[in-house]
Amino acid sequence: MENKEAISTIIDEKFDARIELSEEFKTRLMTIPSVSSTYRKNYWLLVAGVAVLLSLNVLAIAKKTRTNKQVYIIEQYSTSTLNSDDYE
Amino acid sequence: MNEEIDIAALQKGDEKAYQELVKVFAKPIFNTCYYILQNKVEAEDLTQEIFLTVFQSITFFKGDSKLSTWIYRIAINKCHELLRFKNRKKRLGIKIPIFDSLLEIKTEAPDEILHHDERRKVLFKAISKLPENQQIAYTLYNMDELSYQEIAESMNLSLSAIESLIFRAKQNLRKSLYEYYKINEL
Repeated sequence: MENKEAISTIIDEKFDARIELSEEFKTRLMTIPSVSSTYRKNYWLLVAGVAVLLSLNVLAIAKKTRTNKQVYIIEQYSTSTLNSDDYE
Repeated sequence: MNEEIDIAALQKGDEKAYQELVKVFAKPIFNTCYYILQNKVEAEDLTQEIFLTVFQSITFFKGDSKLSTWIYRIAINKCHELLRFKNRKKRLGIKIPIFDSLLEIKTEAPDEILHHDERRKVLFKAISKLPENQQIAYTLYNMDELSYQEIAESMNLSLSAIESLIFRAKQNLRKSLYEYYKINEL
Protein backbone atom coordinates (compact mmCIF):
# COMPACT_ATOMS: atom_id res chain seq x y z
CA MET A 1 0.00 0.00 0.00
CA GLU A 2 2.82 2.31 1.00
CA ASN A 3 4.52 1.51 -2.27
CA LYS A 4 1.39 2.27 -4.26
CA GLU A 5 1.24 5.75 -2.78
CA ALA A 6 4.95 6.28 -3.34
CA ILE A 7 4.58 5.18 -6.96
CA SER A 8 1.73 7.63 -7.56
CA THR A 9 3.81 10.41 -6.01
CA ILE A 10 6.78 9.64 -8.28
CA ILE A 11 4.58 9.48 -11.37
CA ASP A 12 2.86 12.78 -10.61
CA GLU A 13 6.09 14.59 -9.74
CA LYS A 14 6.96 17.40 -12.12
CA PHE A 15 10.30 17.43 -13.95
CA ASP A 16 11.44 20.78 -12.63
CA ALA A 17 15.19 20.44 -13.09
CA ARG A 18 16.59 22.29 -16.10
CA ILE A 19 20.08 21.92 -17.45
CA GLU A 20 22.07 25.00 -18.42
CA LEU A 21 23.61 24.95 -21.88
CA SER A 22 27.38 25.12 -22.15
CA GLU A 23 28.85 28.23 -23.79
CA GLU A 24 30.44 26.08 -26.48
CA PHE A 25 27.08 24.54 -27.39
CA LYS A 26 25.37 27.95 -27.44
CA THR A 27 28.06 29.24 -29.80
CA ARG A 28 27.56 26.20 -32.00
CA LEU A 29 23.83 26.98 -32.22
CA MET A 30 24.44 30.67 -32.92
CA THR A 31 26.73 29.92 -35.87
CA ILE A 32 24.13 27.85 -37.73
CA PRO A 33 23.21 30.65 -40.24
CA SER A 34 26.83 31.32 -41.29
CA VAL A 35 27.68 27.61 -41.42
CA SER A 36 24.48 26.98 -43.34
CA SER A 37 25.26 29.72 -45.90
CA THR A 38 28.79 28.34 -46.33
CA TYR A 39 27.27 24.92 -46.92
CA ARG A 40 24.87 26.44 -49.44
CA LYS A 41 27.75 28.18 -51.25
CA ASN A 42 29.75 24.95 -51.26
CA TYR A 43 26.70 23.08 -52.54
CA TRP A 44 26.26 25.47 -55.48
CA LEU A 45 30.01 25.37 -56.21
CA LEU A 46 29.79 21.59 -56.29
CA VAL A 47 26.77 21.71 -58.61
CA ALA A 48 28.58 24.18 -60.90
CA GLY A 49 31.69 21.97 -60.88
CA VAL A 50 29.69 18.87 -61.83
CA ALA A 51 27.91 20.83 -64.60
CA VAL A 52 31.25 22.03 -66.03
CA LEU A 53 32.67 18.51 -65.92
CA LEU A 54 29.58 17.09 -67.62
CA SER A 55 29.61 19.67 -70.39
CA LEU A 56 33.34 19.14 -70.92
CA ASN A 57 32.66 15.44 -71.19
CA VAL A 58 29.81 15.96 -73.66
CA LEU A 59 31.94 18.35 -75.75
CA ALA A 60 34.84 15.90 -75.72
CA ILE A 61 32.57 13.06 -76.86
CA ALA A 62 31.04 15.26 -79.55
CA LYS A 63 34.47 16.28 -80.78
CA LYS A 64 35.70 12.69 -80.78
CA THR A 65 32.62 11.54 -82.72
CA ARG A 66 33.15 14.30 -85.28
CA THR A 67 36.83 13.40 -85.66
CA ASN A 68 35.98 9.72 -86.00
CA LYS A 69 33.41 10.58 -88.66
CA GLN A 70 35.94 12.69 -90.56
CA VAL A 71 38.57 9.93 -90.33
CA TYR A 72 35.98 7.41 -91.53
CA ILE A 73 34.97 9.62 -94.45
CA ILE A 74 38.61 10.21 -95.40
CA GLU A 75 39.32 6.48 -95.13
CA GLN A 76 36.27 5.69 -97.22
CA TYR A 77 37.25 8.29 -99.77
CA SER A 78 40.85 7.04 -100.04
CA THR A 79 39.67 3.42 -100.20
CA SER A 80 37.23 4.24 -102.96
CA THR A 81 39.95 6.18 -104.83
CA LEU A 82 42.33 3.27 -104.42
CA ASN A 83 39.65 0.92 -105.61
CA SER A 84 38.93 3.08 -108.61
CA ASP A 85 42.68 2.99 -109.45
CA ASP A 86 42.57 -0.80 -109.28
CA TYR A 87 39.79 -0.86 -111.79
CA GLU A 88 41.83 1.14 -114.21
CA MET B 1 7.99 33.80 -25.57
CA ASN B 2 6.99 34.86 -29.12
CA GLU B 3 6.80 38.59 -28.50
CA GLU B 4 10.56 38.88 -28.14
CA ILE B 5 11.21 37.42 -31.59
CA ASP B 6 11.02 39.49 -34.77
CA ILE B 7 9.58 36.88 -37.11
CA ALA B 8 9.74 39.09 -40.22
CA ALA B 9 13.46 39.72 -39.65
CA LEU B 10 13.96 36.04 -39.03
CA GLN B 11 12.29 35.22 -42.34
CA LYS B 12 14.65 37.63 -44.10
CA GLY B 13 17.56 35.64 -42.68
CA ASP B 14 18.62 38.27 -40.15
CA GLU B 15 21.33 36.77 -37.93
CA LYS B 16 20.53 38.95 -34.91
CA ALA B 17 16.91 37.80 -34.92
CA TYR B 18 18.09 34.23 -35.18
CA GLN B 19 20.45 34.70 -32.22
CA GLU B 20 17.52 36.09 -30.22
CA LEU B 21 15.54 32.97 -31.16
CA VAL B 22 18.37 30.76 -29.91
CA LYS B 23 18.56 32.73 -26.64
CA VAL B 24 14.85 32.22 -25.99
CA PHE B 25 14.31 28.66 -27.21
CA ALA B 26 17.62 26.80 -26.95
CA LYS B 27 17.30 25.92 -23.27
CA PRO B 28 13.68 24.68 -23.27
CA ILE B 29 14.13 22.77 -26.52
CA PHE B 30 17.36 21.16 -25.38
CA ASN B 31 15.82 20.19 -22.03
CA THR B 32 12.77 18.71 -23.75
CA CYS B 33 15.02 16.60 -25.99
CA TYR B 34 17.12 15.67 -22.97
CA TYR B 35 14.12 14.46 -20.98
CA ILE B 36 12.69 12.55 -23.93
CA LEU B 37 15.92 10.96 -25.18
CA GLN B 38 17.65 10.70 -21.79
CA ASN B 39 21.02 11.15 -23.46
CA LYS B 40 23.00 14.41 -23.47
CA VAL B 41 24.96 13.89 -26.70
CA GLU B 42 21.86 12.85 -28.64
CA ALA B 43 19.92 15.78 -27.18
CA GLU B 44 22.64 18.24 -28.23
CA ASP B 45 22.85 16.85 -31.76
CA LEU B 46 19.09 16.88 -32.11
CA THR B 47 18.78 20.44 -30.77
CA GLN B 48 21.31 21.54 -33.37
CA GLU B 49 19.34 19.75 -36.10
CA ILE B 50 16.10 21.34 -34.86
CA PHE B 51 17.55 24.86 -35.01
CA LEU B 52 18.97 24.20 -38.46
CA THR B 53 15.51 23.08 -39.64
CA VAL B 54 13.91 26.11 -37.97
CA PHE B 55 16.39 28.43 -39.70
CA GLN B 56 15.92 26.78 -43.09
CA SER B 57 12.12 26.58 -42.99
CA ILE B 58 11.15 29.74 -41.09
CA THR B 59 9.92 31.21 -44.40
CA PHE B 60 7.16 28.57 -44.35
CA PHE B 61 5.93 29.76 -40.95
CA LYS B 62 2.63 31.49 -41.67
CA GLY B 63 1.74 32.48 -38.14
CA ASP B 64 -1.27 30.13 -37.87
CA SER B 65 0.04 28.97 -34.51
CA LYS B 66 2.40 30.42 -31.94
CA LEU B 67 6.07 30.38 -32.95
CA SER B 68 6.86 28.30 -29.85
CA THR B 69 4.27 25.68 -30.85
CA TRP B 70 5.72 25.54 -34.37
CA ILE B 71 9.25 25.06 -33.01
CA TYR B 72 8.07 22.43 -30.53
CA ARG B 73 6.30 20.62 -33.38
CA ILE B 74 9.60 20.41 -35.26
CA ALA B 75 11.35 19.26 -32.07
CA ILE B 76 8.76 16.58 -31.36
CA ASN B 77 8.85 15.28 -34.94
CA LYS B 78 12.63 15.01 -34.72
CA CYS B 79 12.41 13.23 -31.34
CA HIS B 80 9.83 10.87 -32.85
CA GLU B 81 12.12 10.09 -35.79
CA LEU B 82 15.07 9.38 -33.52
CA LEU B 83 13.07 7.23 -31.10
CA ARG B 84 11.58 5.29 -34.01
CA PHE B 85 15.05 4.79 -35.47
CA LYS B 86 16.41 3.57 -32.14
CA ASN B 87 13.47 1.20 -31.63
CA ARG B 88 13.85 -0.14 -35.16
CA LYS B 89 17.54 -0.77 -34.49
CA LYS B 90 16.60 -2.69 -31.35
CA ARG B 91 13.95 -4.70 -33.23
CA LEU B 92 16.41 -5.58 -35.98
CA GLY B 93 18.62 -7.05 -33.32
CA ILE B 94 21.49 -4.61 -33.55
CA LYS B 95 21.11 -3.99 -29.83
CA ILE B 96 19.30 -6.77 -28.01
CA PRO B 97 19.41 -6.58 -24.25
CA ILE B 98 18.84 -10.13 -22.96
CA PHE B 99 17.46 -9.16 -19.58
CA ASP B 100 15.91 -5.88 -20.56
CA SER B 101 13.63 -5.24 -17.64
CA LEU B 102 13.29 -2.56 -15.05
CA LEU B 103 15.34 -4.76 -12.75
CA GLU B 104 18.51 -3.48 -14.28
CA ILE B 105 18.01 0.19 -13.65
CA LYS B 106 20.80 1.35 -15.90
CA THR B 107 19.60 4.54 -17.49
CA GLU B 108 21.56 7.11 -19.47
CA ALA B 109 19.60 9.91 -17.82
CA PRO B 110 22.01 12.24 -16.06
CA ASP B 111 22.22 13.05 -12.39
CA GLU B 112 21.05 16.63 -13.00
CA ILE B 113 17.67 15.12 -13.83
CA LEU B 114 17.74 12.21 -11.44
CA HIS B 115 18.87 14.18 -8.39
CA HIS B 116 20.90 11.07 -7.42
CA ASP B 117 17.52 9.54 -6.65
CA GLU B 118 17.05 5.80 -7.11
CA ARG B 119 13.26 6.18 -7.49
CA ARG B 120 13.75 8.58 -10.37
CA LYS B 121 16.20 6.22 -12.03
CA VAL B 122 13.52 3.54 -11.99
CA LEU B 123 10.94 6.02 -13.29
CA PHE B 124 13.14 7.16 -16.19
CA LYS B 125 13.93 3.59 -17.14
CA ALA B 126 10.18 2.88 -17.15
CA ILE B 127 9.48 6.00 -19.24
CA SER B 128 11.98 4.84 -21.87
CA LYS B 129 9.98 1.61 -22.19
CA LEU B 130 6.71 3.40 -23.01
CA PRO B 131 5.42 3.63 -26.60
CA GLU B 132 6.87 6.74 -28.33
CA ASN B 133 3.66 8.80 -28.27
CA GLN B 134 2.99 8.12 -24.59
CA GLN B 135 6.62 8.81 -23.74
CA ILE B 136 6.55 12.20 -25.47
CA ALA B 137 3.11 13.27 -24.19
CA TYR B 138 3.89 12.28 -20.60
CA THR B 139 7.31 14.00 -20.65
CA LEU B 140 5.92 17.21 -22.14
CA TYR B 141 3.09 17.22 -19.62
CA ASN B 142 5.42 16.64 -16.67
CA MET B 143 7.94 19.24 -17.82
CA ASP B 144 5.21 21.87 -17.43
CA GLU B 145 6.55 24.00 -20.29
CA LEU B 146 3.46 23.65 -22.48
CA SER B 147 -0.27 23.64 -21.79
CA TYR B 148 -2.46 20.69 -22.80
CA GLN B 149 -3.60 22.67 -25.84
CA GLU B 150 -0.02 23.43 -26.87
CA ILE B 151 1.01 19.80 -26.40
CA ALA B 152 -1.91 18.78 -28.61
CA GLU B 153 -0.94 21.30 -31.30
CA SER B 154 2.73 20.34 -31.13
CA MET B 155 1.92 16.65 -31.47
CA ASN B 156 -0.76 17.25 -34.13
CA LEU B 157 -3.34 15.43 -32.01
CA SER B 158 -6.65 16.34 -30.40
CA LEU B 159 -6.94 17.36 -26.76
CA SER B 160 -8.76 14.16 -25.87
CA ALA B 161 -6.06 12.07 -27.57
CA ILE B 162 -3.40 13.80 -25.45
CA GLU B 163 -5.41 13.24 -22.27
CA SER B 164 -5.79 9.59 -23.14
CA LEU B 165 -2.07 9.24 -23.99
CA ILE B 166 -1.05 10.74 -20.65
CA PHE B 167 -3.59 8.61 -18.79
CA ARG B 168 -2.33 5.42 -20.47
CA ALA B 169 1.30 6.43 -19.90
CA LYS B 170 0.61 6.86 -16.18
CA GLN B 171 -1.20 3.52 -16.06
CA ASN B 172 1.69 1.74 -17.76
CA LEU B 173 4.22 3.44 -15.52
CA ARG B 174 2.23 2.50 -12.41
CA LYS B 175 2.13 -1.11 -13.60
CA SER B 176 5.85 -1.38 -14.33
CA LEU B 177 6.91 0.45 -11.16
CA TYR B 178 4.56 -1.66 -9.06
CA GLU B 179 6.06 -4.83 -10.56
CA TYR B 180 9.56 -3.52 -9.93
CA TYR B 181 8.92 -2.68 -6.29
CA LYS B 182 6.98 -5.90 -5.71
CA ILE B 183 9.92 -7.97 -6.96
CA ASN B 184 12.41 -5.87 -5.06
CA GLU B 185 10.50 -6.24 -1.83
CA LEU B 186 10.56 -10.02 -2.04
